[in-house]
Amino acid sequence: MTRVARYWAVESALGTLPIVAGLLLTAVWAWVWGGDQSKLSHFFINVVLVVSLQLFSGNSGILSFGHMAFVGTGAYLAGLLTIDPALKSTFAGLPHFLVSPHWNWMLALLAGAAAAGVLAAVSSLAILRLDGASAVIAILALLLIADIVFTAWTGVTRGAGGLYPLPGEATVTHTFLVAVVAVLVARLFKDSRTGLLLQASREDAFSAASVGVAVRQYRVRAWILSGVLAGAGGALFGWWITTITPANFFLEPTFALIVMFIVGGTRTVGGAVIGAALVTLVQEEFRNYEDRSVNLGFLTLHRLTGLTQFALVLMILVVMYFRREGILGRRELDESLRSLARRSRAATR
Amino acid sequence: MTQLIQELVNGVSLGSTYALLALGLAMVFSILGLINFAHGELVTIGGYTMWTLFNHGFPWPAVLVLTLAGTTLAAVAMERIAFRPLRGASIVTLLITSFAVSFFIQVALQIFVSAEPQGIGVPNWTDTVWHMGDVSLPAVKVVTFAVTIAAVVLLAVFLRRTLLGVAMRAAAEDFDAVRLMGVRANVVVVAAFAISGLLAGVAAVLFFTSAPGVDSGVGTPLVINAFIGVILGGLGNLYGAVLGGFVLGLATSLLDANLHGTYTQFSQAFALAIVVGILLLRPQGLVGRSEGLT
Repeated sequence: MTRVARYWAVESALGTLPIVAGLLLTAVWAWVWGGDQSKLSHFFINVVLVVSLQLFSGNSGILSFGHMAFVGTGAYLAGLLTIDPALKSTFAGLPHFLVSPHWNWMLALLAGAAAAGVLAAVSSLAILRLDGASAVIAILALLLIADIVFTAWTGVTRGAGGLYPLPGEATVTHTFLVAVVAVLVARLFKDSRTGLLLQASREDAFSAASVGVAVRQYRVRAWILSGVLAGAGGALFGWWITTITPANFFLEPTFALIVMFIVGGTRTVGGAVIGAALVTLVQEEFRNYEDRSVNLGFLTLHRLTGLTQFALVLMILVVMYFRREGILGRRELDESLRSLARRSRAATR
Repeated sequence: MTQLIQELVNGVSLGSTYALLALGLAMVFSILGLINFAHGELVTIGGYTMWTLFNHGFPWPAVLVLTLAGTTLAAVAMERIAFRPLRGASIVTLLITSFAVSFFIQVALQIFVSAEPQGIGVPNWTDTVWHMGDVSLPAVKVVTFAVTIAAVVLLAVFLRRTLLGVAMRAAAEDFDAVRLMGVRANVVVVAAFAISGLLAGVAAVLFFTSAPGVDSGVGTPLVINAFIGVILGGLGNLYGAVLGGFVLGLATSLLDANLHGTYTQFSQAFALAIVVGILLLRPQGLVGRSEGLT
């Protein structure tokens, strides 16, 4: 290998090639071979969301139940910035500075991401001073607070009635680009100095601190970067679903996000992407059956409400009971491929 | 003045429900380290049991007994099926599993029982209202408070005076030491779940008598509030949990009544922000001494 390739950033960016190739293939499927645009955009959005969760929770070992607060922040702000001003002027109680803007998608996405980043920075002051069970609980409290604010701040969010119609900016191209950026950022962070030290603190926070790792500072960095990515994913999610209500950012989507994260394997970016693929498949394919009635012979079920949820529950329970490290385990795809190659080379020698 | 007393009465009654649920949550948490989100579904199951039995014309004493039995059995079944295989797993694994159990029960109720909210046909005499001067005291609210206090006292006696109770308190301190003393772990754990299920049953009966309607999602806000109560009182501290439940009930009631206009809807957000503040300043909760089942 040349000297450039030995520089860690280049090496880990190249390491995302298997994932990026997979994403590109999916995008080509949508562009050229007539794959379902909406379903595949949903997959890319899920990739962004789960990769953002992986960036914080995978490296720090603190599972976040609060990421949907960032997702919601991004979705509401980016949505409001892109809705037609003529329409917005009919919204009662919307602050003036939100009525006039009619931004293009990229700017609005960045604004949503930045807002989520600010929320992460502010919440980190309280949450990341805590450790262990208290931290998990405080992050859960963040989710609960966000839900109350989304529901109650009707002047901006339209409350439980929902904010609509958001423009359909979540095209395959847009979502694909953001997904690739998210994967790159997460992988680079993981292999960076901060990422490695954070992983050391995940394995043993006390030992890491004792050799001079500023655990809290690194957690804060990961939390903010993760919040920014989640906000960007939220912006895309809003444009994809076009009507957003507080329920879109509460317990059920939180659970779906955690299933994606855990099923693939929490320690790797590749695992997160695989989890996103599996969960998107379940969400998209099972949704069609939710409104149908099923005749089991001895009894007829009229509506299979919550079938998706049920499938996700089964997925997570299977992983929890039989393979707690997730499908991919500890190694990234490129690392597994490389060691496979090394082993086969050794075998042929 | 009258209005303030009225608000306090409402707050205490609301707080009683939270306190009963918080007590069950704290009980299981102190022994297993599990925050059982599916605890709210025990209340829901209690509600559906009451709905079914009242609709089939069972007399109310039978409904009472069968509802309590139902939630207790459900709690024990939950432990046996979902949580026993995960004994000793991390808090995160347990929390996710309890989320999964909670969703599973909700979906099962929607599919197999009813997707629409159902009214429960409670007897008319539960509507009685007593008057004390200008203050009106709905009988249900007074009974709720009295029953809650009685339940807490009975539980305290059980934990202090019986062998099983003492073993449970010891298990909250150091589970391994208790097992070395020859106490079977499963007995202690099943007892904790059974008691939490029984308390959830009591909460369900009282809650659905004053608000006689049940749907599959009714347990979620309840368990969230109970959970806030548990943190307020200090995780795993039983009396703290009861106190936390009452404080939350009173605070919600007073904030609801005194915040102006649109701010009312934010009252819970304020309560949660206070919780995070308490976690920061006193991670051991209001009462302190986070370990120990006393």
